[in-house]
Amino acid sequence: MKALPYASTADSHIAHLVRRHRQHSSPLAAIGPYLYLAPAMILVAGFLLYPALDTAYLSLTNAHGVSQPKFIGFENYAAFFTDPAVITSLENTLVWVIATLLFPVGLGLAVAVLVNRIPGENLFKSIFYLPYAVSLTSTGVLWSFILSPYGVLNAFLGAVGLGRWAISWLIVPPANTYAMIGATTWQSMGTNMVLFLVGLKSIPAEPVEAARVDGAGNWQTFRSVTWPLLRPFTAIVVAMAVINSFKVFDIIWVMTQGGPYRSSETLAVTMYRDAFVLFQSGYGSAIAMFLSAIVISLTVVLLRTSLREEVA
Amino acid sequence: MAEVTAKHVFKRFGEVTAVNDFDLKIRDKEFLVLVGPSGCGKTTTLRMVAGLEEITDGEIYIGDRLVNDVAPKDRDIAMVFQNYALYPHMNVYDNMAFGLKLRHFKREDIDRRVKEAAEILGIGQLLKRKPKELSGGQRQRVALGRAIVREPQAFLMDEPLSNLDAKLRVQTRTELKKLHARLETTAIYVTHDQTEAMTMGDRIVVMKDGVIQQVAEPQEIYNRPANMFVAGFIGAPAMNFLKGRLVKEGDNLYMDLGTSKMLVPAERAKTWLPYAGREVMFGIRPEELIHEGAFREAHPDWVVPARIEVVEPMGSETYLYLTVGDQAATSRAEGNVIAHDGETMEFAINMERVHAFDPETERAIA
Repeated sequence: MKALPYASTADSHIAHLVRRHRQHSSPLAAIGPYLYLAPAMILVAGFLLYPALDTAYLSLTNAHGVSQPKFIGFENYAAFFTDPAVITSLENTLVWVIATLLFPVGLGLAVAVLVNRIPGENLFKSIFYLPYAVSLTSTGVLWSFILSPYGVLNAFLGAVGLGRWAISWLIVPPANTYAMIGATTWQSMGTNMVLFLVGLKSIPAEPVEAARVDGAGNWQTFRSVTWPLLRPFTAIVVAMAVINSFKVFDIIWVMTQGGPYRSSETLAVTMYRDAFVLFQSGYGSAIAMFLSAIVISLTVVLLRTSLREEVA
Repeated sequence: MAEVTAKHVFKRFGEVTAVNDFDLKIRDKEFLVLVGPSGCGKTTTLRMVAGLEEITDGEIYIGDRLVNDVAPKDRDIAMVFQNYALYPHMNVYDNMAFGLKLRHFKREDIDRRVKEAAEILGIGQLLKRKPKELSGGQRQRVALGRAIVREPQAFLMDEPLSNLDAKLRVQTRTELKKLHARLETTAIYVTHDQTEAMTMGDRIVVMKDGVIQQVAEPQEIYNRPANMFVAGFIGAPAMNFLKGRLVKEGDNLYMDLGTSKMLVPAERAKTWLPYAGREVMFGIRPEELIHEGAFREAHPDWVVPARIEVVEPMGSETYLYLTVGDQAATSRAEGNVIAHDGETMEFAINMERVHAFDPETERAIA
């Protein structure tokens, strides 16, 4: 592209100023910008970059917290693809990801659409959002009571004549994973609902009204107009939900600790157990690297598509 | 194509009555303009016809069908919105085809109709573009195209020109009128712009505070406004209102403005006679406050002196802002008039075309 004449004049003027500035200023001025950046850079380097690199190195060793770690190449990585515990954990993680999209996200959207612009919207919004004020750990404790063999859920099933459906929810796989997903849905659906509501309110009324006049019923209006216009918000909600579900840890650790017999572990729980309970630091680090790779690549892909597809 | 009938329609939002007893039959193929200041209930009325707003009381018919409880999608009407309301994620073709797809038209029919409409509107080359890649005028055409392809019973238009720049607005005004003549579909058009109303409407409905003030053809509205609101709202510059009295002297009736008296022509005197001796609000259009010499000489009984406050040359004409006695008035004079601020000049009021209003009811004395 051809530069505009006045732009090039301005550029050369700025270059001249910079030259003159450099000639006349102290050596400190040259490193000034870096001094301002230093605190943030030290924090990132010390608490993120170094541990990440160290973990990457550990994952290539047989470190187990006692003797000097020995470099073993990719053996840890090769091992966990044949480790039944890791395979179960991977399967559970995928169940968490899919279920999170179906329930906390899907229900969040459904509830947002239902309560949007109805009388009492604020009341419903508050009710659905309230559980988010409870931490995941407390949610875990609370739902452990509800789901225990003598808990509220089984008592309720018995009372309505569905006693034969009562089971030890947190003991029997795969019900234990589903039960914990249920608890997470209760806690996190409200946030998604609020995000979707923000999105719904940002959609101008006119295209929706135009669709109604054009001949669209409620479902067609939603499918053809509301849903496409909601896309930037959906992308963000989905990105956050997928990333969080890959990392899910606290509620499982509180409710089942990944058991019984590692049946409800996810990758994050497996990583924690191997690294900090069984002190297989090298092996745990390999799992951590694998999990990080998935989460980082998903983040990049989702953020890119969500930014690119943003509807103007 | 159909008549649209509103029978005693009301719309209340809580305590506020937005539309108050709207009762009107809109003829088949008519271009009806609803005009009034913002908040007068014109858009709410249109939205009730569209089905986007519920009717609190009364009945609306499209053709012979009562549509009070019919969903917008089943009313067979098309609407053009003020900000176009195009579907931002669809290209021009899909925007126009959307309504036809929903009605399960055959693909060839959709294609033919969309292309025909695009041809009429001159947007054939834009069919693949998204709305954000179009100018305001082009978006406007797509919005019209979306309405045309449907071949609905009635077009509803909510200030469709107000987002266009002044020049394009004038041009599109004419095109819309031509389009209506070609399509022969009943059209209800909402605007706050009296020029649009005058130039486009077969009939004009002037509204204020939710109440119809007058329904008539443009010339009728201009020449025989039903009340002071209509008189002041239609016409630019606005009609002058001068307070005065009707005075009977012998067989003659005079308009007495305090400083000067003007003879009321016999025809008008007959209708105004009951108001003799009473205070009356006189309405004089700026073009009937005439400085031109020949007219003044022909009507010496109608002459009144006025002080020029401001001279506003517009090119083809000049607006003179005056004080008549102690009341403000505007005269629309020829472009080449010679007038100076502070000067006192003589004007003749065309008494054949003066309006008189009852100052209490504000209704025309006719």
